[in-house]
Amino acid sequence: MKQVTFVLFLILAVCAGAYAQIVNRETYLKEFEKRVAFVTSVYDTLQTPGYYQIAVRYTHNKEIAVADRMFKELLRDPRGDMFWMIPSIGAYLVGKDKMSAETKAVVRNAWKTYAPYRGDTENHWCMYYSALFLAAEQFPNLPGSEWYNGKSSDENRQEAKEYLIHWMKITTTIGQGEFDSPDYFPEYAMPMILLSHFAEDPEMKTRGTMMTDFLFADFAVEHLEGQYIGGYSRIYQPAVYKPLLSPASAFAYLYFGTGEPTNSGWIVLPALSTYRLPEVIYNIAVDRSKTYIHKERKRVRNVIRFGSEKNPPVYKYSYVTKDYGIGSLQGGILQPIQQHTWGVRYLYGRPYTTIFGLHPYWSGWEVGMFFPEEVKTLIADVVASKGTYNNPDKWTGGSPFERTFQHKNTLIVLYDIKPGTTTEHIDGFFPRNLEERIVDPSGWIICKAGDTYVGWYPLQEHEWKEELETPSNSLNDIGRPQLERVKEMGNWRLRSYKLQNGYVIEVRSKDEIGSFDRFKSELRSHVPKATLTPGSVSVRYGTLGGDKMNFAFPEKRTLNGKEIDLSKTRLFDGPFLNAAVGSEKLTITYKTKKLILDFKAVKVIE
Amino acid sequence: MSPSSNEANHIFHRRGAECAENRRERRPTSSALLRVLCGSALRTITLKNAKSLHRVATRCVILIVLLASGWSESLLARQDTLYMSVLNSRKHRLGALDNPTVGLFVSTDAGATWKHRGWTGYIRTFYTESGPDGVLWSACGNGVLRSSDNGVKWRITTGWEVTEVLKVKVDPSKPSVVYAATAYGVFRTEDSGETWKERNVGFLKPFVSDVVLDRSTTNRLLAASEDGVYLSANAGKRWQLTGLKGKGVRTILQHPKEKSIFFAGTEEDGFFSSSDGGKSWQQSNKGLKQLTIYTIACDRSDAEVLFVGTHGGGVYRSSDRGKSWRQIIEGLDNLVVHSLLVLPSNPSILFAATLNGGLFKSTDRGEHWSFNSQEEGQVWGLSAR
Repeated sequence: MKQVTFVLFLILAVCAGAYAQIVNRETYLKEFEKRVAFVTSVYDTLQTPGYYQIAVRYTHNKEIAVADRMFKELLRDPRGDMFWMIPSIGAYLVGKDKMSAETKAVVRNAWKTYAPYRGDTENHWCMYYSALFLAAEQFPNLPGSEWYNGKSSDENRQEAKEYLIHWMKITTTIGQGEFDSPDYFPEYAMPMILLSHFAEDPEMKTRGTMMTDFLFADFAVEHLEGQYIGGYSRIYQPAVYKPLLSPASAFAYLYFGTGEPTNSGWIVLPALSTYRLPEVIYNIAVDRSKTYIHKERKRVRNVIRFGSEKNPPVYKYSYVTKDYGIGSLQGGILQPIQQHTWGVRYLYGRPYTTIFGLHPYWSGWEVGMFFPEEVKTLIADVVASKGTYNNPDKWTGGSPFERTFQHKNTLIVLYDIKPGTTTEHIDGFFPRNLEERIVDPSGWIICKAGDTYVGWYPLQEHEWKEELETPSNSLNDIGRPQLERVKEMGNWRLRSYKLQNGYVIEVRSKDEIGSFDRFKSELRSHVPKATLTPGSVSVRYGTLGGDKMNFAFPEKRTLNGKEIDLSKTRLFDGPFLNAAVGSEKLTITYKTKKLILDFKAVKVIE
Repeated sequence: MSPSSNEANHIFHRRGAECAENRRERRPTSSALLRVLCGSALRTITLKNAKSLHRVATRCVILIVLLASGWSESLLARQDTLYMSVLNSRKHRLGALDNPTVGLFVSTDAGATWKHRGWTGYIRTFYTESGPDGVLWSACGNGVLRSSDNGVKWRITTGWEVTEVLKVKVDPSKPSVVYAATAYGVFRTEDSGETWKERNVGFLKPFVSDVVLDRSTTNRLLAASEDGVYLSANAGKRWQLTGLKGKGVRTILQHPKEKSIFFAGTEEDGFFSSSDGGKSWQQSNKGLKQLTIYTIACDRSDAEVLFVGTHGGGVYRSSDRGKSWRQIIEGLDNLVVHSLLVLPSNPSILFAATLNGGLFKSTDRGEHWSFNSQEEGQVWGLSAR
């Protein structure tokens, strides 16, 4: 009896601990305002001209003349295309009632004379058309001769609205294209928040708010203390192995109150807006008291050649606990260049809070699927802006020779690599700051990261490589040096040169399995059986949880004798988010609270 | 598609007047002068008028002096307006303050000088073509752009649905009809870009990099797709695979004189020709060492002569309508040639547009090349009017 009481007490203590971080609405809003004050604090004193500096000065009613001067100076030579459009219209919208008539005229003139590139992908179009919509509302009834693109205010507003509704429709029916991106989250959140605050068209204002809710709900179920969990469409180095460096983490800090305080510029305009995160989403974001499985369907970015389907489906599986999350996409080329197919992320050991693996693949065929330039020159074009793309040591990217099969906190990854492809090896990332990284005689590599234990069973021989961060790899993907860091630690790379390859990953927390010794002992008695010949790569494995997983490359997945049909994956499927494919309706649930985003009716039901 | 509006209509109606104005402003070219000189001479000789013969002799002397003085090249060429579409530059750096100007460049002196027109930033300008009415059409990442004032002011004629436009083709007999070949298929306007309609029925894979309007039959089109040559007999309403299935077709050209003959350049499979209007195709790679062909050009003065631009092999010349090929790359520093242009008024002059090496020019039918413009530029498309 005493034991039962003790266990109950422990459970209550754990729950209380987990709930301790959840605050009521009133407190949340107060703390949110404090975070707003913090994230905007440096921007009204910065003397370097910038749109965020301008926006904060206008909002804080401070140094209006300086803001005006900066605005005029920046607009002497606008640049940055859609990355100019969003911050510049944002700065205008927050300051239009305070700026001088002359500044207003300069802003207006910029939309006549500067012709921005529309871009070639979803985040570009989302920013471009959101900004154009807001600008067309602000400068109405003007003929085409007053706009850079020769279209009238009405035409621009209408076209922008049509695109944005189209984007919302496909996102809420077959999933977001550039989904769950730790680096590109702001490119969607910022424009939607601006629509939510500033759109004069009531429909677009509502849609902006709903879409912001949608994006945050999607993030809320797949983050751990501000780190996005699982597979992503796009991520840059070094955020892939230093998760809290990504801009999405800045949004988590501002809106969820988790992660690390930041003055990231990405959250300045959102911080100045009237958008407030619904309580139900906030609760989901911060409550990790119960472990859960969350599944999603997303879509591949527009495939323009070498494919038979414009937007093939992406199936994502995430397992989330209070200590760690493991998630995966099904594998294959799902996004160009920056795909992250699977990963474990945990709380211990910042900044290196992740273990993951990949086949560092690149090809003209891959980029030719998504970009219209000549296939033979595309790699060089891509490398000019994404410097690590053709680096065999890179840490981002998908591969046509990689597939995954995840069940709960067990993941199998298989490779059947065609000989002669750009890289004939696979890599695994193991951070240096792991407490333990044991190469066990059983074949398992067993790691301890605080209360999270990770087992990695390589199916083929491999080698270890210690990698200190050198000046060459401390450049980020766009070739800019990172901020100087002192005493940067090295990390471990597991590399295997076998073309038919794979590994099994088991993750458990202390709460789930008890001691690290027990985890080790359990792993030793669970060894996968693999067949690894060209064209016939498969593995049979009984998980620590007692399930039987059979996986044959590329697509045959069997769980406890039952074949898994990924095509039945719903748009959202989990304890918090639910939506059917094609529904345009997302139901967000937290305990007894419910929020329904009905995009067909353009209505929010609470 | 973009709906019509008062403003759009205003621009549309204004265009005719502007074109007329442009034509009025155009100075008489030297080749026009030559035509006057030669034409008058012939007419007067026929009349066998002694007085006129004296006048003819005088004019011939003037002509000989002009030719001998080395002006011939530029004088003969001056009637051509050349359009060079620069997609990007290897010098371009994300966020840099001194990025080179890209987009459309125009020359009216056979490439001696180039003037930038229109948008200066990177909007993925792939190709620009002038219609017979003088209206300019640009195929861009931002859609199809139109200018009625020689590139000073532009209007994006397409809406959000049309993006990554690789080529535009104006119907020479009806300049209000324009086709756009895009990464998402073919689009057509019949009202000078006021409205566009998607024309993709029949394509299995709609990535289309080129469209050719068959001069022999109204509304007959051939399209270069990633999966072969497609044919439409009804202005793109329906398409049917007509040949080269499974091959990435990059470009198609109709023979300038014999309308039943077409040529196609492919990714990895070399050069093909068709003598039955595109119904059947024959491969012809004799002499070609590189088999990715981005562009084909012809010498209008000699029906036998063809040029191809290749990936990695520069330029090849054929003197037998593509039966055999000879590489001509002396002075051509970059061998990724994406577009070729034979100057219509002087076929001795060729331009080769390279990806990341800029524009090269030859004055001896491609035997020797020299750098002309756009250092490290990705010169994607060339055209002439």
